Amino acid sequence: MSEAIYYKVSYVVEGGGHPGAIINVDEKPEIGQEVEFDGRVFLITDVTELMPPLGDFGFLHAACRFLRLVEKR
Amino acid sequence: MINLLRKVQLFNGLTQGELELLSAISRERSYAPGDLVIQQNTTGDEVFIVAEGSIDVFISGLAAEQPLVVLGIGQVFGEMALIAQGYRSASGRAGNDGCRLYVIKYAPFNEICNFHAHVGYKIMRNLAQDLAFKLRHRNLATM
Repeated sequence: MSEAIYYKVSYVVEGGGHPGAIINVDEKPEIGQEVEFDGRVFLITDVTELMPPLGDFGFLHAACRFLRLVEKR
Repeated sequence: MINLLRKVQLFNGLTQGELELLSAISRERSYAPGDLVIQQNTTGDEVFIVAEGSIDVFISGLAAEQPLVVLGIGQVFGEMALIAQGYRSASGRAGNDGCRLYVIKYAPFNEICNFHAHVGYKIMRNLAQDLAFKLRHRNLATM
């Protein structure tokens, strides 16, 4: 995979209980990291290339598992 | 605004000057959690870019209007307005934390694309790629 500056990531939640999210990030997501969207925290369990990179963008798929709700601040 | 537009894949490959053209026709709008941003089956001439927060995309008639996808920072929605000015294919409402959006109207956008054809080409190429990405996401999410 060539070096991208930004990543467009398709987060898909295991088990289908949540529709997942598409988010742009500055750093490549890694297995074992936590990601937060839609008021929930998820654990990333797999990362693969969804489409070849183009220009400044990489296109990734990250599978993830629900961990907990985000605590209200 | 330029810094965010640079991170929007729809504008991938555009130069600083070209991003400035788009920045000049973009307007900022904020929505509280749950606010309806676009309504399915209505017409619209605006495309939206998520600058902060998220948008829940949903289709009327599906169980309890469950979101099909959550679109976070850097994502574009309402993009069909840039291709075919027909009815909106889905609704979008502000996510749990609300959202701040950049809004671009079709007419000035079209003017830029007509006057700078290479800008129009890059955006349309990126738009096709964005639609392919969303389709692949949907396929994976429903497996």
